[in-house]
Amino acid sequence: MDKKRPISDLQKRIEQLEERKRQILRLAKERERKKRAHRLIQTGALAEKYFELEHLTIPEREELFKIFANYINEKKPDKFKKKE
Amino acid sequence: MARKDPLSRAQEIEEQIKKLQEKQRKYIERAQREIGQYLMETWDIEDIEQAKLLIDKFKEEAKKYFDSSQNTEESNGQKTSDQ
Repeated sequence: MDKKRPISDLQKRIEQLEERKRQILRLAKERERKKRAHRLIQTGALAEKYFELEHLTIPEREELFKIFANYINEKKPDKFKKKE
Repeated sequence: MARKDPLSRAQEIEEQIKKLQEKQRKYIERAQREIGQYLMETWDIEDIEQAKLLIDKFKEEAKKYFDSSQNTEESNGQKTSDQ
């Protein structure tokens, strides 16, 4: 008689689904990470272009941003403000 | 049809997993209940420890039974594939 294993079969199916779920979440996280990296590169490129930062080091850029951060955050139009 | 976002897909899978876990739990419960009842009735046993002793006594026999039937099936399969 062939040994039937209904409990183990169900267990295998559960493990397959768990792996599929992990894979979907892993891919989604990876896609999100790539989108964020792309966004940061674009933002950096725009900042370099409009604020003429090419010649500055990263610490110098940060120093410059800090000088204007409060002013810009206070003055920026509502449409650019973070929506709560 | 619009492709669902990953979180919804993951949630759907999680629901399927829960259903299967519930099915598995119910199956185990039913198997334990029915097998226990069948054993008690067919072997005319009421005492749990005595039942366990008898099960242990025939454990190796049951194992051999499945092993030999598996070997027979494997050798039959081998013969079929050899032809």
